[in-house]
Amino acid sequence: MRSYVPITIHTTWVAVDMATVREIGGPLTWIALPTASAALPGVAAWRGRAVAVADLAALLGAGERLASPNARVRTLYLQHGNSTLAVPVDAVREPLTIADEDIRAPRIRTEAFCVGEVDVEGHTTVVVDLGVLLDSYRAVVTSAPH
Amino acid sequence: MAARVALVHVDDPRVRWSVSAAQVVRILPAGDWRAPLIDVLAALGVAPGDDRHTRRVIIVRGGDGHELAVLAAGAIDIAEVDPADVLPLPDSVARASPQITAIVAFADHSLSLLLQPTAVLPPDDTVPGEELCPRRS
Repeated sequence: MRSYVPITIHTTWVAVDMATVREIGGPLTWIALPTASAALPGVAAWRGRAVAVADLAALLGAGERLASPNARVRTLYLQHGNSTLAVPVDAVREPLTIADEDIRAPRIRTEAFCVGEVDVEGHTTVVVDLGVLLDSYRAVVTSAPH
Repeated sequence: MAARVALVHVDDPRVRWSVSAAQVVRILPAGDWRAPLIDVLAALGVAPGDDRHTRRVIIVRGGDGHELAVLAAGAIDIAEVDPADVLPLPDSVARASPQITAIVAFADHSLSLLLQPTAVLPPDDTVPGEELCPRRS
């Protein structure tokens, strides 16, 4: 059994591991980095430090991209290793405890970071592994020419 | 209490940016400058802005004494900030943005990019015999 936080980006439902959630906040003020990617387009100030902003819409190909300086109505602050990410989302639902056997193999999305599917409020919800997602992105950044 | 940090802020309509005041040699109207200029934001990939905004030239000096003439398109404000409000970029984005050393967080929650202009165009990139900012003797 594990707890997940269901979130929505446009019409896409996503579940993230509750253990990675440090805080759920309101709208985020952020600044775009000219050299950044669509996936990690900028940074924001959080608890006295700068954290990267992740655009799930860009990562998932769902909905409109973020536009600085304002974001979506809610922000998830997620921890992965030493990294903290601010993830603006359209809505956050009540955390759910889901048994491992209730998580199906992913069918609607086949990216490596989509580790399963589960039904939440009648919506097929993609279970996302933030670590896999970030690691695959970092590999691209590290190998990219500057 | 740590000493406050003096920064020159440029309210460029494309993105607000700042530079350490300690690096700034002088600021002058763009009309008074005849040599080539660096648009640091354009050098970072931002589309060039229009000419409707106030344009000045900021002469900045790098650690080796090399001077660069940088375009400031937008209102300029010279102000001190608390060092705690200068936030280094996280590792996840810093590698892709060596020209941006930090963000500056203001009391109104707005943000600015703290740039290292001399990292945008290293001195080695200048054409031999051509100086972007002629030295004054």
